[in-house]
Amino acid sequence: MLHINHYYRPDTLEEAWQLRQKKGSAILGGTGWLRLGEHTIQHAIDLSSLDLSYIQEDEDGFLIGAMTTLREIEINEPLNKAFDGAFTEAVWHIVGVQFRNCATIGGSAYGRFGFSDVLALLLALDCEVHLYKEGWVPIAEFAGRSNEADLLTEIRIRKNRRVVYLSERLNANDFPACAVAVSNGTDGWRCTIGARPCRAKLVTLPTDCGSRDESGLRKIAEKAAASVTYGGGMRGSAAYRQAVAAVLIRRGIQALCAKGGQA
Amino acid sequence: MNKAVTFTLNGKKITREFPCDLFLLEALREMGCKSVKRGCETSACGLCTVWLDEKPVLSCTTLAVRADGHRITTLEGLQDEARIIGGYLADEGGEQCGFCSPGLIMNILSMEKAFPELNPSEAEIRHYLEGNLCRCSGYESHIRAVTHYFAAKRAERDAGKEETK
Repeated sequence: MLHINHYYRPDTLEEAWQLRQKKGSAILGGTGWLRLGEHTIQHAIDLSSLDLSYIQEDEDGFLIGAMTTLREIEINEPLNKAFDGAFTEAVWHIVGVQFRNCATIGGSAYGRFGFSDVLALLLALDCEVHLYKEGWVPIAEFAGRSNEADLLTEIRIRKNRRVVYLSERLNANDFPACAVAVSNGTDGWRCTIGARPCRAKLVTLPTDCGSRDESGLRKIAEKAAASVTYGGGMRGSAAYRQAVAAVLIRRGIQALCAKGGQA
Repeated sequence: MNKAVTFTLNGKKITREFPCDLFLLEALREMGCKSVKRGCETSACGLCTVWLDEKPVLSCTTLAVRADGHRITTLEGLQDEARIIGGYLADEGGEQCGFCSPGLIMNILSMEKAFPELNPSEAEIRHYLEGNLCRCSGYESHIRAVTHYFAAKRAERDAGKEETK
């Protein structure tokens, strides 16, 4: 059962931050998962009056406001052109259009959910989150934290990596049983393995991925998949998820090589 | 705790007090909008679809207080449009128990804004309606109905263009 005692829609980030410091406060994202589970929120803070819904492109990359919906990310042409449709691929399976019109990228990143497609993709990119008081924090560092009293205001993604996003789902719009993003840039190859079913993890891949033959790629993918831990659940056993991760990593490397590799 | 909320419901400006944890689904049904169906209440089925500022959203997981300052549209506010789509669904056998129809029709109508050229492909229709579950129809009849509906809309638009030449 959900209980919310006070609801606020602040007009400034400072006001929102002050409210966030109160005991029992929570930031409202898309609220899609809010009623799953027992929650009592003393102070619910809605950021929707703070103009945090935008996707801005410059020479280096994109700035995405925390309240930008997953649907906007799905259909944004410049963003998907720059990353070969990876953002569309990562979010278009998520429930339905109505859900994606509510769910926000800030909520997805801030929630650091184990099943998150968005977090798995962002981790593979050169990406930072902006926290109102702390400033810019690399996404990998942010993803490793467990609690946050600051406000996530926007996300910066640089265009310096090519990326492929792949996932395995038991049903078309279910949570992923395993999700993988493989990326390549001037600093080499890396991949993230998400929906393990715990939080996505970043794994560095060998620098010569692009020149390996099929059996070499299989070895790299299996080694990368084995470097993180998995859990079992209704969508698959730990062994199943690891086997799927290895296949998706190999396919991701091959897909990037086919596209010409480096950004 | 209650909060005063002012919003436009089906074209009419309304001010109400809602508990902070009341979801839009319950608020709308209490206000007489019974087309908004209670289904899964966990963001999965699409039965409770309404428009928030012309975009389809799930009212079962949208807090009523978030409607403040926005326009909410339910099927009660789109009766003429609903009747036309309902006809296409009936013609194709897509309206069986009918429980999913209001949410489905709200989402079909929102496709006109998502596809202003009125020419969604079958794959695009399937993808767009993925969040509307139906236990009766098997979906094929829905897809045929939507395809025919958009073909008719295109013909209507093209006939209008001819007249203005």
